[in-house]
Amino acid sequence: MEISLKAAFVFYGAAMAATLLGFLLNKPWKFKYSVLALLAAWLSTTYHIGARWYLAGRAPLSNQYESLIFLIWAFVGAYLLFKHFSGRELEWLAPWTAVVALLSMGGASFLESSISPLVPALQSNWLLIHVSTVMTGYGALLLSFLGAAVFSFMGKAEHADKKKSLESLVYRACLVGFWLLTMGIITGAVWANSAWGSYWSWDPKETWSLITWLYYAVAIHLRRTKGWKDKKFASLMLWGFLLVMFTYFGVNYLMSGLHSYGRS
Amino acid sequence: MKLINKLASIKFFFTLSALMLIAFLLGGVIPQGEALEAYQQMFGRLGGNLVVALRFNNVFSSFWFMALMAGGALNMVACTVKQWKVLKLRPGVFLSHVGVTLMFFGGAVHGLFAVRGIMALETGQVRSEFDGDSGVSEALPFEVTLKSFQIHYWDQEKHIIHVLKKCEDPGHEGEDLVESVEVVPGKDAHFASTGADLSVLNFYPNFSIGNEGPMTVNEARENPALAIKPAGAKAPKAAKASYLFANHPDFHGVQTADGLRYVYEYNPGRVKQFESRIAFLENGVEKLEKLINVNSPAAYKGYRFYQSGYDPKNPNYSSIQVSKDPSVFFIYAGFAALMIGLSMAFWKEMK
Repeated sequence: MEISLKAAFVFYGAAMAATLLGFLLNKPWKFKYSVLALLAAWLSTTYHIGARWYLAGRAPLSNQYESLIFLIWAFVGAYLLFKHFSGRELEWLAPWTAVVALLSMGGASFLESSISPLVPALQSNWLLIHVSTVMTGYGALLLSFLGAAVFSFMGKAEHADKKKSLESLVYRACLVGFWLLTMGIITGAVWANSAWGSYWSWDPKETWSLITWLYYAVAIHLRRTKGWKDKKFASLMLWGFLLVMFTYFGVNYLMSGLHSYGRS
Repeated sequence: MKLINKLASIKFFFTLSALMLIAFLLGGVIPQGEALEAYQQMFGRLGGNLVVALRFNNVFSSFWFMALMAGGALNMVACTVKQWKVLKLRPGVFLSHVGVTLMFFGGAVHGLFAVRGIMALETGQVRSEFDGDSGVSEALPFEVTLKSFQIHYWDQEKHIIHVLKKCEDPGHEGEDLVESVEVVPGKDAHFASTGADLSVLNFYPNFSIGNEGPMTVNEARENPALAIKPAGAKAPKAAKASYLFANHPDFHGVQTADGLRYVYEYNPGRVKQFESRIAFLENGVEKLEKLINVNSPAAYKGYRFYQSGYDPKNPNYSSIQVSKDPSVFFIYAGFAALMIGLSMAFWKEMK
């Protein structure tokens, strides 16, 4: 199982190296091999998640380590999916996706990774539905953030085509992320109602999820009604992801509540 | 019409959203529901008083937060009514607005009609009321009794005795671990490293000294201790019992002549599930029996009963969350409308 994670590390590194080498040798294949290496990394992570699921006898989504690995998997998967539907327009983003995935995997390696039995509250099929939707949503919002960050640092005229496709990616990834975040909050509410008899308790995680949700709802409204596109929308996505990070990590470590088991 | 225009305006929506974000941030950052003294400690005397006066200590039940929610509901309704013709062309946007409106409505129904609280029960006890979250006792139109309560463990508790030896390396202080042996109260244990046998006489979950000597206060694992005595052929005949304390390894850690020390580690079992068998009675006659555990509640006459807690000191005690909430229907309808609406609206844009 661990070998698959190490392989993912290597493949993410290869995705970055392929682009670098392609640039140095001035080869046209530089992004193609990056995307292939990214796909290999994603498949390795898929195997890791599957093996862990098999060994634990439950979905590997019960602590910070497991959810972070799933988030990275969803992030890379979201990129590959968008790339697949956009032809070659987005393949130049592959090495940047690999950088973010590699750094996140590095972060995950500091977390407690042992498989432990579930506490009673987590023994429910809702664990899989709720956590996987939220993490996939975070993955899509991370992709929107990455696109926004790259967009913000791009020059004006010389990258007009790239900027157009990137701007579209930033918005579409935001829509997917927002849809999944909404679904995640709703599944969490339904689970809470079936476990504790209350669909909303203003627990810190719930409150910060709502803050994040409202922020992205306002961002989408600003774009649709006030025409906030390009740099303005990219800035919104950059700041928005800080909220996502705080909701995901900050609340777990700084505040105690119904989601406290998520920090272990 | 002018009022509807103002209420439905996007400017009003952005203003409300900004205010709601601030309110959520206040509720998300300032600890909620603490006493005045706690806020005075956090923010100083003046700041603490201000927090309480402005209800920042209970943001989500404050009058101004309710007004904000009412404003949100009005904005949604007005926007839906005003833009009816446009929204008909964009059913996804329309449905998602209806969904949020239903949730606001559900929130109001919840605030007005929902009852919730805790029913503390001991085995055999019959109750027809519970302690409401508002602090008032709530009556039930039937009785509830706890027939049995059980805790299931992933693994049982373990008693481990470690043998430690003073570190021989002159540059290092402390002790080295020589051997660890899992022991069972009432049985002898053999330590290969020392060749000694120990008889584990008794386990005291909550050790204390009573009038008649060592005793356990109760079954709570608050001060776990083991009584041990040398056993086997080498043991002196008049050997007395010694005591090892899990919480105080240095207090009575038994020291042998060759510098070895026995230390007791208590490993509590990890809880897998806890469940209550409850029965609903009417006029003393049992109508329904249900086994409830976390994630699997029981429903009777509009009330739902959730397994919420237990007392490690009292194996017969079960804490049950009681809830009657007519808002759930509206909230779930709102969820469905919002998800369908967003799917329709976003699908169009994704294409």
